[in-house]
Amino acid sequence: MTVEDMRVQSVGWRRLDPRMCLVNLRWLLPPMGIIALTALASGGVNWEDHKLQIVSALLFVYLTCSEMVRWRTTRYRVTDEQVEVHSGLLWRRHVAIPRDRVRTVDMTSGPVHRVFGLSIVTMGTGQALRTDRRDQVKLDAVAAAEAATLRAELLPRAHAAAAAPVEPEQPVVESEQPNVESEQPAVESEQPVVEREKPAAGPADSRTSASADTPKQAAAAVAPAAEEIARLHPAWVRYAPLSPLVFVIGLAPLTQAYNLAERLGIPVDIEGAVLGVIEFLGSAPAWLFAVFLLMMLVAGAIGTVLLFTESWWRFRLEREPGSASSGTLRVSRGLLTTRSFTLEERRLRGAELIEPFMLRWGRAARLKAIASGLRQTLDGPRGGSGALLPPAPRQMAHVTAASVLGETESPLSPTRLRAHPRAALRRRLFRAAMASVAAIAAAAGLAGPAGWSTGWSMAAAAVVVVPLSLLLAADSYRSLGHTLFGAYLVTRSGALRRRTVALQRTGIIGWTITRSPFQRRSGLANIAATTAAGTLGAYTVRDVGYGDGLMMAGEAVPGLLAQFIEGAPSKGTET
Amino acid sequence: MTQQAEAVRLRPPQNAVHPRAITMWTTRSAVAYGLVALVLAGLAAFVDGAGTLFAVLAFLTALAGACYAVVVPRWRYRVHRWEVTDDAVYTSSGWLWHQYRVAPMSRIQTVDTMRGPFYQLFKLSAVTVTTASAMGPLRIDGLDEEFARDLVDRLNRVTQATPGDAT
Repeated sequence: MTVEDMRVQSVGWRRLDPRMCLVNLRWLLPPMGIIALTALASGGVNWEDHKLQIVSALLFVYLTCSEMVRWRTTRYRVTDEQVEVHSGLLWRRHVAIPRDRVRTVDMTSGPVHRVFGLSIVTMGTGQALRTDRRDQVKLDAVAAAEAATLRAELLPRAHAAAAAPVEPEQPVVESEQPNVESEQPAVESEQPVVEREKPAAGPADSRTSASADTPKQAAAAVAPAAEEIARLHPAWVRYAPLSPLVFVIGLAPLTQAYNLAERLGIPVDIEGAVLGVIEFLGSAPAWLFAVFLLMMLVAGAIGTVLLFTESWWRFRLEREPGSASSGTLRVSRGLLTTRSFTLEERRLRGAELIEPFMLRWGRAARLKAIASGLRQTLDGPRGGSGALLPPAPRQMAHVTAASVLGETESPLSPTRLRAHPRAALRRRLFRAAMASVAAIAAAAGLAGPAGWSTGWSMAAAAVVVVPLSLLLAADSYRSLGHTLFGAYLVTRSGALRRRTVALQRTGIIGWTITRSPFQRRSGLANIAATTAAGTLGAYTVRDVGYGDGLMMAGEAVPGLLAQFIEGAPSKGTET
Repeated sequence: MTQQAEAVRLRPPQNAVHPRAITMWTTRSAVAYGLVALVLAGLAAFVDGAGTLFAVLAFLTALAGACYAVVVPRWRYRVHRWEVTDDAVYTSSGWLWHQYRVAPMSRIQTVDTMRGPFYQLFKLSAVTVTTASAMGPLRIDGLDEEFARDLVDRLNRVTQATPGDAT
C-alpha cells in the first residue's frame, strides 16, 4: 500500500476535476421539480410528508460520497510511452495504454457537465463496438480545457484535422433515411459514429443528424466508375416466404384486429373467443381446418414478400475504387426506408454464408460481411448490418463472396470442408436422447393434471420428439466442417441455422481452446479463432478432433499456437 | 494425419499462479456461500411455518459451500497456469471446463491489473490482457501483487516495442 502511494505521488499524476462531485446535483432536480409542481398545483407543499425529501437527500448524500471516493482514488497520467489510469477503492484497477494504441479520444459533456465546464474523456484503442469496456478508459470528468489539452496531446493528428472532420476511425458508415414515415426508423438508425468534439451550442446527441448527412456525402463522392458486384434479381422474391415468419405474419391481422378493438374501447373477451374458436374448430369439418391453415399461409407469404420488397428494393452491391490502398464496398437498398452501408475493404476480414433451414430447402443462402469496426445487429428478415446479399441462390452467394473477397473461387464452398470425428455425432445423439427423455418425462408430468392418459401422452411425445431430435442431431453433425483454404480459415456448423464462415488468417488475433469434460474424454475440442471483427469476437470450430484442430490452428497462423503444441510430428520447426 | 494427430496436444503453460490464490479462492467461496447460508438460517428463525424448509436449505447450502470451498480452489490451482514468451501470452483456466487462450504480443492493446477486496486482503492481483477481440481479455488470476506489477510493466514494455495497430 505504502509503496503504491509513493509511486502514485511521484511523477505527473493528475486528478479528476473536483467539480465532478457537483454533477450529482442533477439528482436533486427531479424531486425538487416535483415538489415545485405540487406547490404550484395545490397552492402549498404538505410539509408533513417528508418522504420524498429524505429519499432524495439520502440518494444525493450516497452519490456524493461515492463520487468523492472516486475523486480521491482516481489518478491518471500521460507519460512519453503510455496513458495510465489508477482507480477504485475496493476493486482497484490499474490500466495502462501505450500511446500509439490510443485511437480515439472522445469528449462528451451533457448539459449538467457543461454548466460546470466539465467533459468526460473516453480513450479507446480502436474497436469502439465492444461488449465489455475494458479497452476503454474513461475519465469522468475533467475540466473542458484539460480535456482539450489531453486530446491534443494524445492525438496531435486529430487535433490538426479537427476543423475538417475527416474521420479515419470511422470504418463503417451505415445509414437509413426514411423516405416516408415508416414504423420504426429510429431502431436501426443508431450507428457507430464516433462522437466528435462539438461546439458548445450543439445538442448533446446528434447521432441521427450525422447519419443523415453521410450518405449524401458518400453519394456525391461516388462519381467515377463504381464496379457493380451484384444487383437484385426480381425472381429472388421467391425465397422470401422461405422463412419461419411465414407462419407468424399470418396471425398478425388477428392481433391487429384485437389491438384496434382495444383502442376503440370495444371489450373483447379473449378467453371466451379462444374457447369459442376451439369449440367451433372441434365441431367443424376437417376441410375447414385446412382452409384456415392455407389462408394463414397465404397471408404469411404475402407479408414476407412485402417485407422482402421493402427491405431489398433496388438492392445494389458495388465496389468503389477509392484511395490507393483500398476501395470501398457499398450496399444500397430499401423502398420506404433506404439503407446504405459503406465498408472499407481493408476492414474486411472475411465473409459468412447463412443458411436457415427453410432457405436450404430452396437451395438459397444469405451472405454477410465480416469486418472489424462493423456493428453486428440481429439479422432479421430485413437483413442486419453487413448484409451483402438478400436471400439469393446459393451459387450466386458463392460468386458474390468470391468477388467481394477478391478471390477467384469462393472460400465458403462446401466441397473442401473436412468432416469432424464420429465422437461429435455421438455427442449430438446423446444430447438428442437427453432432450427426448426430458420431453417424455414432461409429457408424463403434465398428463396427470390435464386428465389425459399418461401412457398415451408419453407415446405421443415420443413419436414427435424422438425422430425430430435425432434428425436435428444428425443434421447438426453433417453441418460440422472446417478447412484451411488459401488465406482463409473456413468453419461450418449449425442445424436450424447453418453458418459457414471464412475468416482471413491474417485477421486472427489469438486462439481460445475450450474443452468440456465430455470433450476431454472423447478427444474433441472447440477451437475459436479470436478476431477484431464480429459481436462475439471469435469464430469457433466446434467439436473438432483435438489434435487435428490444434494442427490446423498452428498452421493457420504461423508462429503463434505451434510453440505451445507438443507431440506434433513435423510442425515443431515453425517456431 | 489423423493417426499422427492422436498424440498432439497443448502443453500446459509453464507457470502456476501464487499458492496464496488457493487460500483466497477458498475464503471467497466460503464467505459467499456462508452469507447465503446465514440469510437462509435467519429466514428459518424468523419465518413462521416454513422454518424447517429454510433450515434444510441453509444446511444444504452450507454443505455445498463447504464441498465447493474445499475442492474447487485446489482443482482450479492445478488448471490455472500462465506463460509469457517473446511473442505471445498463453493462459489456461477453469476446472470442469478447461480453457486455453493465446494472444500474440503484436495484438495486445492494454495490460492492466484488477484487485477486488479479497485480492487486496491476500495481496494478490489479477492481470488482464486485452486484445481487439470482443471475446474479452485473457486473465491471469491470483498472482502476487508485486509480481503482477512487474509483469504488467514488462508486458507493457514489450507491447510498446512491438509495432502494429493491434487489429
